[in-house]
Amino acid sequence: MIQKPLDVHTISPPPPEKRVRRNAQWPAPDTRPNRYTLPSTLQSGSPVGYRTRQALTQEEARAAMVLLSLPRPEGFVSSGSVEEQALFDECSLGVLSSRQSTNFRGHRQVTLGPEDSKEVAALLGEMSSLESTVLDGACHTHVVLTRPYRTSFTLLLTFVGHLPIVSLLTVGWRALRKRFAHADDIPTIGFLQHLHLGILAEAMERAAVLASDGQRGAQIFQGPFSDPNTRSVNQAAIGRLESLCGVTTHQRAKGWRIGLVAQVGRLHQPHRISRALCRKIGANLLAFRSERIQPGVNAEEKAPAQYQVRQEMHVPDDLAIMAGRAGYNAFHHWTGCDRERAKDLLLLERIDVLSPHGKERLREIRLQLGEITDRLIKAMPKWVDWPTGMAFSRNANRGRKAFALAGQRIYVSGLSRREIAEEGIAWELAVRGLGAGAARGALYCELMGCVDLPSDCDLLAGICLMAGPVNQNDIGKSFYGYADLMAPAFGDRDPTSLLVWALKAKTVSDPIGNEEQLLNAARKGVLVDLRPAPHDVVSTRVKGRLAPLRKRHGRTNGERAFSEIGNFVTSPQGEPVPGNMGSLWPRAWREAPVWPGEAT
Amino acid sequence: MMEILHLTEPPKVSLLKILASRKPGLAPGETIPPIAVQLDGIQPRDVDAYARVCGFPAEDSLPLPLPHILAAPLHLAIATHRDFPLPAMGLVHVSNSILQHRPIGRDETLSILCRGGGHRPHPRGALVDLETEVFSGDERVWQSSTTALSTAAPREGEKVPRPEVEPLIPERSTSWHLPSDLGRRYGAISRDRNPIHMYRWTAKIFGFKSHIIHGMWLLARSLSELDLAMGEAPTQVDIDFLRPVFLPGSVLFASGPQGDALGFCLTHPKSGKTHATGLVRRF
Repeated sequence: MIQKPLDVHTISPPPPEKRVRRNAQWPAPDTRPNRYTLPSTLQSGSPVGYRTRQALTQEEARAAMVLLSLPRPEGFVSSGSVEEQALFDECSLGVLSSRQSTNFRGHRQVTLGPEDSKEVAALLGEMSSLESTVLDGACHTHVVLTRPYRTSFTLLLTFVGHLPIVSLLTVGWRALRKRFAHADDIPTIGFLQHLHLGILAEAMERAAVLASDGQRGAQIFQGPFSDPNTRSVNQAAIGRLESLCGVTTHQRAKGWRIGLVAQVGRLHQPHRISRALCRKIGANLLAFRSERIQPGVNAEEKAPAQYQVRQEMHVPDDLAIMAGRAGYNAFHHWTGCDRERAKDLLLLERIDVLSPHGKERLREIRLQLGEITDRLIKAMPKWVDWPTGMAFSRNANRGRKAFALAGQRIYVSGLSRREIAEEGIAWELAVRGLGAGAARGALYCELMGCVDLPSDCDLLAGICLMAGPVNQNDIGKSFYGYADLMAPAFGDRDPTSLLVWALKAKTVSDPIGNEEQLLNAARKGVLVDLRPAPHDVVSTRVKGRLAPLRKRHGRTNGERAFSEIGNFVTSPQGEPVPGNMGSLWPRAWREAPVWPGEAT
Repeated sequence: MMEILHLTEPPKVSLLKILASRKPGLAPGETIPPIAVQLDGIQPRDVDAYARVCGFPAEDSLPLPLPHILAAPLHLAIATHRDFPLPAMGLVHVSNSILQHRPIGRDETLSILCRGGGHRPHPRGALVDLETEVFSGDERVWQSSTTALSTAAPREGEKVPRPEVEPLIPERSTSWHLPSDLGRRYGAISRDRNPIHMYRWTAKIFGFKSHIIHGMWLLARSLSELDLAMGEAPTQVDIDFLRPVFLPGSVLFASGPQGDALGFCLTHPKSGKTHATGLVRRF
């Protein structure tokens, strides 16, 4: 499988007088903190923290392009156990910073050592629908468990699309089906789980390389675990793999299943990328994940002046073309379809104001999504809304924020079920491929947004991947007879829209904040870090026993990964946010092999 | 020459005895007579349990503050000695200074000598210093000075302004969550089961709104966070305890260069008030 090479195309910063930075300050005494002020502290075990982007030179960016077209490893050479620090770094760029909704933890990971990896390789060898050859000699194997997407939004969905009076029965029936059969209210909610897994697979592949300075690589398998048919065929081997990972009946009842398996090993031919660049890119990847790029603009009245500035930055066409190339490469890489065919299978509709009729199209979409919200609120069963003080209607109304579409390049992306089936690709695997493609295209732009980054700019490009507009359209499709969001552009191809991709060229970072802070009135102004600590989601299996990563002697992780780069958010005067810089895990523990005495 | 009371085994002082003892406190013009106790043939105990509760990785040498818990029964022996005029229950640990001359091996047999005597006037009572020396054979390997405040003394001292110190430039900062049972777990290992560390209700009896963690746990946890590489060079650690840390709770730990030393500081995450400040010097 050959991926097309990527070139560096940068974004020019605006003239100095139009450059702005976040420059957040601590609130003045007696004023209420809000999302535009610096948090007083960060209490979090997440390796991410609040980070800033590090400027890359053109040369560094060119060298980093290898990370956006990683080939599957062809073999591993024998090695001993990985050191704890390397495993932490790898997990930090993988499952611990994967793109998911901020208030949802849908992934867990069990990591197995060299001896167990042999058993996993044997089990994988028994499975069908593998994307590639199972390799011998993995120094560790990550097994990622996934569960259906369930948040306060999906709770709200339980009450959507029912007829009056009958809703007293149908709501209950749907709730039971959600709880016990893991049925989704609308199809795109089920697709989210696969989008997230595709994005994670993409991140894990790169994480293995970055955490080892190019020495290790990851062979990732999603095929046997992606769709119900292949799961059923591979049931016996998957069951044994689940036992090895300690998946309990209770967890299975809650919907936890194996989502993907990543074999990590030392490569025959290491990637040519310097340690210094790996560390810098790693710190930047965490910076990209350390803030939530808002779907809309931040030009609300209370926003500081720097958020009100019109910067009129230009996104070069070559950059957009290259982001598309990265996306097609990823779709081809993860689904195994022909590279040129990927360009046909991935449906993209550009809807920003800079495209022909873009303004009208955006208005049309906003109108449609607004109508669906109105209908949804009107049809909300009164027996649930009134006793809760109209909480559900209010939340549905507040959700309009999630459909705000702003940016210089906005694309709706999707797939045609019919064409994917004709191509012989499992639908769920294709959805994962689309997620990976969107993430890789986004990463290309995010990296380009750091090239020659002037010191008076936070960034040059911010990316927002949104499912909100697609989900809202899906409510309309499922319950009110609306057409798919992409129907006007691809009506004859039976499109299913899956994700909205928005690129904003700008120099000011979005406010430090998260959904909990935005949605929960009681939390307003108080920063709550919802990202997981290692011990929350990662376990290692050592000598047959599962142990949480970085939970030892009453201590849990306080380290921010790649912290030696020092890219932490500070006040304009350079004062750090207390708790943000983290602390190192004890040397004796981090330098020790995770599986002492074991070798591949 | 001070008379040294030689002990053959660690003194056992019951909590009941401490609670029941009636000490008059210091009268004006009175001071604490010199008292010294020594215990030989001590094998370091509970090293792994101590490391687990304080967050130290298991190593061949003892965690730097561990000898303090070996010396704690001797401190108690002094504080409950019939000639010691202050009530042991009211002594508040305000600072500690440790000088480790070299790392102590786990299998070394130690002798500990503790001395008390005299006092320093303070606006809230009297400051009492307990000096501790730890020997391996004839070699002094560790020493500390523990300062406690007693309010059962005339308030004669004048408020001394805190000396100007170089500001701490934080290079690391993280938060710790301290569970409610931490005082009980540390108390079981250090044998310091003072009710103010045990439960909310036992602490309330002594005027605290909740139970508090031991100061020496804060010191030990800070040192485990600093993760000092223990070479053969002497290491000095000074800590001032300014405000108690209530359980359960959180503290923010920050560390970084402070003048020619490594400074650390523990603050309340919301109020920003300082619980303790410390300095580490390597010679």
